[in-house]
Amino acid sequence: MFDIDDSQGWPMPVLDDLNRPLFEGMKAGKVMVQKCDDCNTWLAPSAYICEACGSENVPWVEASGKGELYTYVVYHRAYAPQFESMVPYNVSLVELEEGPRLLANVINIDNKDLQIGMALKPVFKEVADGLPLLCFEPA
Amino acid sequence: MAYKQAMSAIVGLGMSDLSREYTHTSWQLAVIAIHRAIKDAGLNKDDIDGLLINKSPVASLSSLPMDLQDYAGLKDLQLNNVVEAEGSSGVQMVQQATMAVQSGLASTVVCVFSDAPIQPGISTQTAFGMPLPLMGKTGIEAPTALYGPVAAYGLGARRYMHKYGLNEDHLGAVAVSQREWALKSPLAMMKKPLTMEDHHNSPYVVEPFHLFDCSFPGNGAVAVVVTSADRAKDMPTPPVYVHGMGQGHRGVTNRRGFEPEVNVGAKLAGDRAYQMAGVTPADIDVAEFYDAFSYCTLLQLELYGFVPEGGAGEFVLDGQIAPGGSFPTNTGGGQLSGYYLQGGTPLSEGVMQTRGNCGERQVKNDLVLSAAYGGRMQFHACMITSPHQTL
Repeated sequence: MFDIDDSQGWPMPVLDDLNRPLFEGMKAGKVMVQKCDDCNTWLAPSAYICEACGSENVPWVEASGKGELYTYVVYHRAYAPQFESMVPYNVSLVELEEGPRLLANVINIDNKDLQIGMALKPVFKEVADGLPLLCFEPA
Repeated sequence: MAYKQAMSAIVGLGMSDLSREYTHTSWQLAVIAIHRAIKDAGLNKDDIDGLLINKSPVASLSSLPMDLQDYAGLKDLQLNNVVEAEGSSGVQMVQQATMAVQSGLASTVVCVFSDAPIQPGISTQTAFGMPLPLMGKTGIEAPTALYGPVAAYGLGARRYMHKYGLNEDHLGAVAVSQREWALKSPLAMMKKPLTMEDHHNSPYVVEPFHLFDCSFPGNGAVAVVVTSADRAKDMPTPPVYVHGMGQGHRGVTNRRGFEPEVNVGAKLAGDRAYQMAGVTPADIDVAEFYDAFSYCTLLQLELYGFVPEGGAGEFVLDGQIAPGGSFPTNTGGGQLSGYYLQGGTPLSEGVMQTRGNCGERQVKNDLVLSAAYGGRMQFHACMITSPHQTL
């Protein structure tokens, strides 16, 4: 179903046409999502077709990056060795102002201060060499 | 008043021993359960003409292949299939067996779930703790360190709790209620009482879930024998008549205006099953849910129509699903305190309650709902059973 590339010391997807724009966007400091060319629905990656109208025209577009916290969890144990130094860390779903939700870590905040609905903005964190991962921080 | 005939009947139940240690391969456990189920039904292995197999979605296909037929010594089958519907397969197998029996494709079908996640050197955290795809198709979530089902469900639980103003007491009340049931079940793996204080004091795994909000995986197998309702009348065990069944798979929409974490397919599944059986949620006496995490019980109580949406937290905190409560739920302790055999958990307890041989934990059982789901509560299947052939 998916392949993980651990060669950089951090789990990354094997890049393909369905995810490359997202990660290339991160390297350029951009938040990339998809948007249906036919019905204008903003879509969370990776969309192969538009789930609203069925169109195959779902190009990648840049989002503003502004969003709010939709839900989150806080890990109190590490499921893989490279995560041990991060514990406790959060994984969150962030709802962009355009509508799509992205999974990301919210950083530069104490996990106790996370509140659903809080305003967030993008920040890029170097998790491994050349991998500026899209994260969010309080706006 | 019109009455409804049952669509099929479960006439045999077999379980392997359950263990937190590795004792047998998955297929060996399956063979044990299959033969216990056949014996329980008073049948011979050569009476079986259909086999439906449910392996864990995280186990390899080779751990429980179609060759299970040969490992179990089953000959001349006219139905043989690996049912892959993730955790909902336990109930989906009975649905498929029912359709096979009704259509004449097969007459006597064994359905088996088996899993041995605990292996030498492999803990359940390792077995289930891989990166999970929530949003897409290419593992784009792995860099966020989203590993394991606890967090995947935790995201849903946090959203659900936020929506209805719930706190950890409401989650804890599920764990405490189900432990009370487990103490009445000789099959349950958890044997000690659990208090709300114990729940709150147990460490967080992935917040909002404490340790006691999480199910308790083990190695084991469950098998049932399904045949026609007419034939079941002459069988030695009390028949478990199947009167309704349904599925619900709503799809996950990750954008504003949708709450896939809360609006899961259980309502679709339940509505179809109630319609098929000609009953309403108020008619159901007891529910057996797939409850991998505490909040899953709350959400299913609501979506299967037993309490208003948003009302399950207070209902459970008030003791209503515990022994002595108004709506017995997960009467074997569920997966939190009984045993985690995926869809095999609600399947087996639903069969035992419908038969009426649950001893100290037996409850009124004219209509029993057994429900299973897979994925992150994405894929739902349920069935309504009764000791009565006509309703």
